[in-house]
Amino acid sequence: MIKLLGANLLRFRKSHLFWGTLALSFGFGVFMCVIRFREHLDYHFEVSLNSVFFGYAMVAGVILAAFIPLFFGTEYSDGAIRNKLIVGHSRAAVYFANLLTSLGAAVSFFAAYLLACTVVGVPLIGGLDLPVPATAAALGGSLLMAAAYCAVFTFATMNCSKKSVSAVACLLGVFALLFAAVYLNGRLDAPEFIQGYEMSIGGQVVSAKPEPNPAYLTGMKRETYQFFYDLMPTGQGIQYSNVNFTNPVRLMGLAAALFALFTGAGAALFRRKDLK
Amino acid sequence: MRNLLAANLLRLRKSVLFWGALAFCLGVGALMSLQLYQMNQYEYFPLDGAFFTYPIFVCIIIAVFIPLFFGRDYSDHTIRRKVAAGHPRAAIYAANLLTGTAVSLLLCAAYMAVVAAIGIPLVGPVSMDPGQAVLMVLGSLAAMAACSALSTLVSMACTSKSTSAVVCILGAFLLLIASIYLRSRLDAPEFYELPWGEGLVENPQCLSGTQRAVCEFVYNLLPPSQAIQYASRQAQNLGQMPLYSLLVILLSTGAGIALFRRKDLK
Repeated sequence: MIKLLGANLLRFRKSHLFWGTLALSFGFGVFMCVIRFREHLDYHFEVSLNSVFFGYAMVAGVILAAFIPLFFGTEYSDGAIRNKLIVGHSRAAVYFANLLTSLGAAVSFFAAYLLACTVVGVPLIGGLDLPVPATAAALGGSLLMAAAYCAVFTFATMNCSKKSVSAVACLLGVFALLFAAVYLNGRLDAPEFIQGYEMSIGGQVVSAKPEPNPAYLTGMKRETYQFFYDLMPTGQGIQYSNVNFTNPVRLMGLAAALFALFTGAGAALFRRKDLK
Repeated sequence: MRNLLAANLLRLRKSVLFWGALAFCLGVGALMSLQLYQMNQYEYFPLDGAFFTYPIFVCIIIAVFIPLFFGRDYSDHTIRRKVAAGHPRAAIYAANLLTGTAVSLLLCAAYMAVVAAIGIPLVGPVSMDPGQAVLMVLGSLAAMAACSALSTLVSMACTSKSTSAVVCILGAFLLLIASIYLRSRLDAPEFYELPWGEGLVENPQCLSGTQRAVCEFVYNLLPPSQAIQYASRQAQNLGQMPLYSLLVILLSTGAGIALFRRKDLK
């Protein structure tokens, strides 16, 4: 497997797609920091690096959904997978080498974004003022979330011979999950009470009694919505990017479970795949 | 070019992708109508809400369909054979553009037909003024034609089917998100009220002057922005927006044909 990893790393070095995505991740970090700085200058908002440092978690899924199928899908069209098996590598080794390589790519893109935030963001908008445990949880959790994405997209790419179909499926899937996560976030964030209307009596402004919000989720429904919101990598991405998570251990556990599930299923399916 | 169009139509008839997209539009139309009927049990909602929703998701479907359908011409070397058979490159491009546009219009028509067939008996007709409704439909069809033109430009300029699919899909979603952002900036009120009746304060996020004019131009020009305006029934320049769509079609087609003429069909 070391040789397979070496071959993949060599491909990275020569890949315009890899270097382009790395540059894009760095550029995105610079863009986010500059936007926050402009908001501080134009509108006198109080800003800090907290609001952008983990912003990559929101878009990591989209970037990996484009990168992984385009990079690894070429192996089917070029016949590289079949060649790897002919020279004696096992199917499991081929699968895991690609999975590890995609993990390496994901970490590289994340690191490029964080580098941009550090190099450009700190001088413009200051440093992070989050507690160390929260920072560590967000960082570790984001990396596990990225690993879950890699497992899902590697599953799709290695089990679909057509690069274009796997690319489209991964992209449409991640956008659908992103919109679902935004919807769930909106439902979960609905306030429990709605402020009553303000009315003026004889010149005095008074508030009516707050009323229960019918859209507020309770009981089993709330638990179910919360579970799916925490399970979806896109839901985790929203939570990490806003540094707004209550149970990081649960999030990391769910990401690890997704990683294990899709890796196991993907490797098992790939073993039986007819590589015509 | 008639032969090229006929060949494309024959491919469409046998294309699982085309029939799948059509089935999806019919399914979503039926679902939206039934959902609106259910909502009408509690409060009256006119058919308009379901009828004009199609531009947003047809925009995405086109971004998926056109690169996958026409991208095959490169992988199967069909384009090279068409050129070798004597068809000019501009004719090949135009035939693909017309086919893609026809598909996008057909998907829109299929959606509207299903919503009308199921929605009108259940909920009643569209409540909008008929003249305005016709302008909305025609304008949204022009916007979908502009989306087709942009996707055709990318598909014909890029040899790799998967790369053009990724570019089209990412482009469509990014432009949709950008349109939502532009709309929120344009809708920002000039003043906002302080709590407890303490008066009005100027909103620094409200756009004005040149900045507002540029944002409005871009918001009306981009096909996904137009899709959002038609879907939310808040299109204000119904007379002008088809002209913007025409501009996008002309520019993208001109650029596409120019690029395709110089392309090395190895």
